[in-house]
Amino acid sequence: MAWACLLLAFAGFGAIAASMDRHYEDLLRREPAVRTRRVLRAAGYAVLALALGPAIGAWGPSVGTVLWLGALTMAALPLALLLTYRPALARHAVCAALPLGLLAWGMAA
Amino acid sequence: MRPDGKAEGLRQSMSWLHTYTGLLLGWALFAMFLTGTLSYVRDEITAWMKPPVQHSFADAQTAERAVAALRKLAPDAEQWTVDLPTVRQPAVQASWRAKGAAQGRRGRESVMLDAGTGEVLKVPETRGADFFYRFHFEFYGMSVYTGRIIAGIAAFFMLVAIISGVITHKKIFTEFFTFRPRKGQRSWLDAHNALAVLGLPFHFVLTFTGLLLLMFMLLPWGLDAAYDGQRMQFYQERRVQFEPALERPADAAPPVAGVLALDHILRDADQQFGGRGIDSFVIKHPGQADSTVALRPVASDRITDYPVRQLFYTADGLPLPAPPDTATAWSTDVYRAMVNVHIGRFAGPALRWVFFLSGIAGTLMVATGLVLWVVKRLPERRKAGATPFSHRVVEVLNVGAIGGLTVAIGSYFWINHLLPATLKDRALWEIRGFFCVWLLCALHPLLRTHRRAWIEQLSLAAVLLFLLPALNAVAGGLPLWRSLTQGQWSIAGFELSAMAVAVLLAFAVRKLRAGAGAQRQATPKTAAAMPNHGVESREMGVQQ
Repeated sequence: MAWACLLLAFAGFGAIAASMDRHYEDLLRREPAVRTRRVLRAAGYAVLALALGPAIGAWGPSVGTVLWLGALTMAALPLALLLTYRPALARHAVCAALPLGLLAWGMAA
Repeated sequence: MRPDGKAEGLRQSMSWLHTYTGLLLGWALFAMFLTGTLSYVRDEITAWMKPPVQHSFADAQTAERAVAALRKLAPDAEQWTVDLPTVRQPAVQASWRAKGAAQGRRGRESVMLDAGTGEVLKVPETRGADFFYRFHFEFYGMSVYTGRIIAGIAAFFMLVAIISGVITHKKIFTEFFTFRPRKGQRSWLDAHNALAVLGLPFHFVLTFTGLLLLMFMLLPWGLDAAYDGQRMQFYQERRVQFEPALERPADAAPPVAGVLALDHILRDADQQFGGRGIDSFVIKHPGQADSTVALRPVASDRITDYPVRQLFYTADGLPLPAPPDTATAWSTDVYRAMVNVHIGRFAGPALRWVFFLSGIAGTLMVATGLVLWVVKRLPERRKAGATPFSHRVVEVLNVGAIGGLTVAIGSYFWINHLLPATLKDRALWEIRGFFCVWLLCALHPLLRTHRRAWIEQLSLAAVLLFLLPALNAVAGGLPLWRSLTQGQWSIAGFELSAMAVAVLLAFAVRKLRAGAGAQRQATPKTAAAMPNHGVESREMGVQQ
């Protein structure tokens, strides 16, 4: 469940990064339309919120929230490093993180 | 602070505040963050520092064995306490309180038992990671009170630094994931920002709750007014222990002295705790008819639990009423939740890793901030062509505080394994060794150029940490390949983490060396003309 939370947080941040000036090129390889950006950002925040699901499911609301906050940090730091050093890998990792996260959640639930 | 006397913008004044609160307390904060982070893995470190403990393997009969050992060791005790092996440490701690013994820790005797055999382990005397735990809020060699006041002031400055840092940071959202390497000051600033912003929830909460933990010491006046200066009374009232009523159901058989349905109790309690496992149990009045058992789970599912919720049974296995979910004031709940987040006692393995890694991120945030102070002033220094004394002081203190503490911690583990097991005051000598090494590391950068000092200290730390598994294997511990194959995760985890940190340190050393080489080739003339350490530090800024 910690993995589900972590992977979803990673995917969420990935979508947010894809909507940002500095990073869309690495993640999308072209400039997204304003609309697409807005959608990406909203989807990113939604997936971040979704990551709270497996955490609360496994640890209850109080410990789950703490774990979720921690998972946000643990997901964002490697994403920042990947975007710097291995942008191509970052793209694949972000794409893979969402289905893998959902799968991990589904298997544990 | 502007020389032309014009008013400053909020951001400039906050930037100044951030720089100097951070610098003044930075060295203490680095030590507090690092030793505090190690406290999250206190059990694991302490188990590693007691080699005989590493060979202990728990099985289904461990609890029975511990009780059998206590029957022999302390048949007439008032109560027995058994701390069972957990995923965090593999041996049993069996302790007891003799009849009429002093209250609190003083009246308690304890031994470590092998979980697989029940034999008493000959454990070398050590403070283990408790030393780091105490150090992170009391320091050492001063009164507990003074230490805590200093820690409180440092935590307060940290809170100021965090808030002013957020205000200073111009592009908190557009540079959320940004790290630009090999750009000197820019890279250090990016690293500092990324570690700070991405770990912000942790840094803020940990600093704030750290202050809350010291709250009654830093702001005692409310307490003094309410309790008329009798502070101890307040602490005692808070430390109320729940005693279950010994009510047996009417249809239950009368209690028999000497009966202990331990297996049944452990299984039932584990189920009640949702399978999180039993951390410890206390048997009151062992062997008597009114004997009871109280059990604690390994981790908790609520952050407001303090102390962790217990379950109670009669010795023959009847459940007793658990403490009622007392309707505490919401302020108490908030305080407990905050404090527990800091202590992380409820944390299971996943959350413990999160806390530990976040702590490392916080430690690196402080370290990058301190280095940034030096790097940022390099252009100014280059223009002047000399190193101002104050800059040199910061450089020396940076190496001594950051590199030095890392080397000292590595040495502490080596000293622990190398000192003879029966040495008198052994635990004290370990700590003396730790401080001697740290002192040497604080003096060493005075004699070396800035870059050389960093390279040498970080290299030494890397070697010390990387060789810990080898040292442990020859000094009577469980060799890494066996701890891995036999699933002794606390020991394997400690050693692999130490090696991982060593690899990171080696990576930093490689960068430092590459920078030195490149600089020498590029500008041999300037290098010869400049005072040596000035050049060395300048290279750091250019190359990092």
